Amino acid sequence: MTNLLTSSPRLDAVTAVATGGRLWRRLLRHGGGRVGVALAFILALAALIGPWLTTDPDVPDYTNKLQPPSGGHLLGTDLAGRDLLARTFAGARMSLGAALLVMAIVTIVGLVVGVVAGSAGGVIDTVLTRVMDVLLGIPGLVLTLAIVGVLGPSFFNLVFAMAVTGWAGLAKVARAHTRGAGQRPDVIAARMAGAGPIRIAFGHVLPGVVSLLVVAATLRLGDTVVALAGLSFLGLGAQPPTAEWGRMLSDARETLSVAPFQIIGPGVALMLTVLASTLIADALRDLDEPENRR
Amino acid sequence: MSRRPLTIENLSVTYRNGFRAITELSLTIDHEERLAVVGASGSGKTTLVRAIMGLLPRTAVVTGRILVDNTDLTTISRRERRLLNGRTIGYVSQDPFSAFDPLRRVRHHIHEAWSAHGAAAPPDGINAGLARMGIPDPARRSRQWPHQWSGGMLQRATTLAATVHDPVLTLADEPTSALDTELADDALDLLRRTCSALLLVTHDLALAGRHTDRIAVFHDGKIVEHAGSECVLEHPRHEITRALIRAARPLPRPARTDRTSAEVILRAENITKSYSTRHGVVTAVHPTSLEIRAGEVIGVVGPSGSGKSTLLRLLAGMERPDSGEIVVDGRPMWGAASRTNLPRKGFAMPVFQDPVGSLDPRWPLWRSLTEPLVLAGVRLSKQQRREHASEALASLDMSEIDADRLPGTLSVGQCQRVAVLRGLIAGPALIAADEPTASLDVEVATAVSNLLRAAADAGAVVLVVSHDEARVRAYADHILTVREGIVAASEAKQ
Amino acid sequence: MIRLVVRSLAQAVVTLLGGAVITFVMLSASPGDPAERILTARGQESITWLQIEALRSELGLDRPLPVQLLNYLGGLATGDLGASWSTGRPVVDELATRLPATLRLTVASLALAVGFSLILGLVAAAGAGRFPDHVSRTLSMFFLVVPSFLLGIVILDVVVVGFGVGVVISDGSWSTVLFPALTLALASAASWSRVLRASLLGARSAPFLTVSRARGTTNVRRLLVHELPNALPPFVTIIGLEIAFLLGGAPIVESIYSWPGVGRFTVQAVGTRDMPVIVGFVMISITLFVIASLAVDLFNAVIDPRLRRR
Repeated sequence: MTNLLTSSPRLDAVTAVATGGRLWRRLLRHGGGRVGVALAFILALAALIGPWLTTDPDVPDYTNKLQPPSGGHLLGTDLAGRDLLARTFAGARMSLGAALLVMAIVTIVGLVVGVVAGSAGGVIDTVLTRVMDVLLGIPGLVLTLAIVGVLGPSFFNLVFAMAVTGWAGLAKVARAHTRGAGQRPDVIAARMAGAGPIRIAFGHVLPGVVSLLVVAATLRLGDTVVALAGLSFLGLGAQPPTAEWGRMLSDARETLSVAPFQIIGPGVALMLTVLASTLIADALRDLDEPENRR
Repeated sequence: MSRRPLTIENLSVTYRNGFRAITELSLTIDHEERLAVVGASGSGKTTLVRAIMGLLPRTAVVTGRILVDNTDLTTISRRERRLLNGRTIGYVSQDPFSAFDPLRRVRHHIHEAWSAHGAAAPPDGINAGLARMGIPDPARRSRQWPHQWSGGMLQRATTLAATVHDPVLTLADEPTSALDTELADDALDLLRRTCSALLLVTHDLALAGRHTDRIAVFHDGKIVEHAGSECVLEHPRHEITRALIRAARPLPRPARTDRTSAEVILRAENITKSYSTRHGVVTAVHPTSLEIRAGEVIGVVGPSGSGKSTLLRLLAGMERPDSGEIVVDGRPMWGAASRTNLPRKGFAMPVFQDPVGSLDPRWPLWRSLTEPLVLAGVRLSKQQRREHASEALASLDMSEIDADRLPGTLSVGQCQRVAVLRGLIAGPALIAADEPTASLDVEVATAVSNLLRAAADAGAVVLVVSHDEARVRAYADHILTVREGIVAASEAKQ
Repeated sequence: MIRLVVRSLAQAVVTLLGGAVITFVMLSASPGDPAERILTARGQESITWLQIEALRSELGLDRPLPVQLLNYLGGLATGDLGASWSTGRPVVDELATRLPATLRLTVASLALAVGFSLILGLVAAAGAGRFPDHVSRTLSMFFLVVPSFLLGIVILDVVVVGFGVGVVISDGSWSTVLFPALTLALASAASWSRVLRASLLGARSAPFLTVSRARGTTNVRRLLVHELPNALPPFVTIIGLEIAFLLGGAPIVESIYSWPGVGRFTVQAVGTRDMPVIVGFVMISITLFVIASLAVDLFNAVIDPRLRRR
């Protein structure tokens, strides 16, 4: 039975898929997975080289306010005359870069805490599990909001807040995998053949846990980007004049009726990010179906 | 013109991917006649049942005729088909445990035989029916949930539900593969009593012989032999039939003449093991003392939950006994530390029931196969390990399998053979096999038991836990029978 | 069954306690002097050092931290959440006046989300692989992919302002809850319908469904009598978990529609670094989440008799 306060079914779905090394190849063979990976690639490209292809996103040009899309400004300009395409690319760099940073931190912290809890057992395990359970019992966005309240609104603080609150689910997965390892038949066989704990840990347990967490974290990338954008939208993340998708949407609100094109850039970008993330997640879940295993 | 329960004429079934499951099949079943359909997995038996029930996917191509009680199933509408199911055609499924919706009471399941067709059960019909099936206190028990009933009782209830409308034809798809032998015979006796014409799909030839009038042997979607049951079993004509009979009844092992000099490898004195569960403390193994000699196969048999697996784990050093002592090679197996004190690494090696789980899914075969060698101290380069693994695979007629493959790409039978190879490769003195053939096809199971026998002949001692007592008796030297934690030793019959 | 309830309750208590400790840490770690801020908020012109000290003593801020923690926990138990640093008034009062509006929004969203996801999920599973399934899945994918704030501002601008339907500034009552609730509900509905569809299809492959078909049941009967009840536990579980997202999404939606709830109030509080209000909101969210989780656990135990024997 899953106790709601302590389980994370989204991550459970990933459990079996991350075994076996041919994951990426199988992903690319899946129809939806291919589209998802292609989108992710495009977004990464936009983030990496987009800003070099366009003008400075932060320089205002008040003579050119609220211009609809045209040859010179493919997505139009905002209230301060800044090119929206450039700002969208710059936002890509910020959002995707920040999301990757958050996921990297969260994965490492989750890995360490989970593996320690799972292998140490006893008091250490109990204490760490309680901490995980408490964190999972607080709605994520709410806690992030609170931490930003403590530290003050800024993009850096937002990233920090998300990193600090997001590791609990991953730690639970890592812990479960590590704890269960002792009962796995292949581990028992290894132990009987004479393998010591270190050899078992590095040969059998850790590769599986790392792969599991990396996949799980990747799946949450989309959610992370949206969360970052959402809180920036409220003014609690990126501060003006920084180009960030959520911020851009918030800026567009006042003049939305006369210049609706302002939401195209950040809106489409956000939607593509979530679409890519969802398609990849769906593909991974499909690959997990029994007919693809034995 | 008689209304024959089942007439099949030139039936062919081809699935969407082009696979021809059944080719030009013809057979008939008359009233009060029982036909067994036997064959290896993939031979078309299940497709036949699905074709009669109308459970094939829409994309399957069906040609030929299927007549049940003179109604041609291939030409009627889906609605008419549905009306036949449950009333004219009865169905008993493979696993009684999973035949019931876990969220509905047993009564609901039986009642569905009527409510599926918009009718209500006759007053007291269910209780009377259950009483006829031998279920005590039916009024109260039918209100219970499926998980509260035993397998045997569930089998009776689902058989009742299948036959309430006195179907002209009853289909039983492997109804006993999940049951112990005693229960399996009971279930089939029940079917014989309650059904008119019966089509029994089974892989168990002996069972078919005991309970049916005729046997049809399937292979690759065709019938290769079809005659009276005794005739088929005693005078098989087709090669496939002979192979099935051979695999089902393993040849008795020739007597050994040089057993007196075997040395004692392991001695257990008054070992016990208990577990605390939510129902209190359960004693899995009562004080037991035994001696194990090299070069022997020892079968450990008994009903499920009797403690045989626990006994195996204690003897193999996988778990520590609560009390008593185990002495190996003159030294106690367990010292002060929590690790065993065996004479060398890899002294005891396991073989598990689940072949897939016993190999690390991320490790290529050569790594899993040669790991015990490396741990035992043999220095091998990666290339040498690969070669060694390839040789090992070839020795078991698996040379077509590349040593770089992952376990996930192998079949269950192949995995288990690899797992056994892995267990034997470093020459262990003791092999602990827990249901090594339970999930395997009959032919692969024979191959595995031959491997284990060969290991014993080479000097190791092989402990085999199995619920297939007949198979184990064919190649074991001694049998340990475990009932509720109490062990009784005996010689295996020769 | 009793054991189940007791265990869930124990877990809930631990979470509440842990959450309280975390919020206390955040309170203590925030910059700024609470006493000074409260006095300023109350409208005092010139604040003397003596007044600050007096208030600090009154609030217990001069005691050692562990004692403060105990006072804090005691206060939570009695419903005392301190005073707002921007208005000076008790947090409980500020939140209590706004909580009903948020509850209305959350309940309406929950109802809409459950309703839509049931419809979408059942339609998709009933017509699996065919037209209804494709339509349903495309709709789900669309609403999954559009962030709630994007949807909100588009709805507000296009529907409300453009077509003149509904009001721009909501008053927090049931009559204006439709659009805010819809905005909050659609993403969740999309996500839940996909889970429901998957678990319905999963239930469909169970052996007892084959047996039921063999008895001659209709597709509809199987869907409603067997597949849906078996598919409910994972569906309800995901709902319980994602109530967290509903609670977290409330601040955003409330801000867009100017919904006078605690979410919007908290967002303003973050801007002014008014920690007691923020912390109060956190505790409310935890409490609501805990209640929802207990309800879900109980519901699953009622549906699935196998869970009761633990």
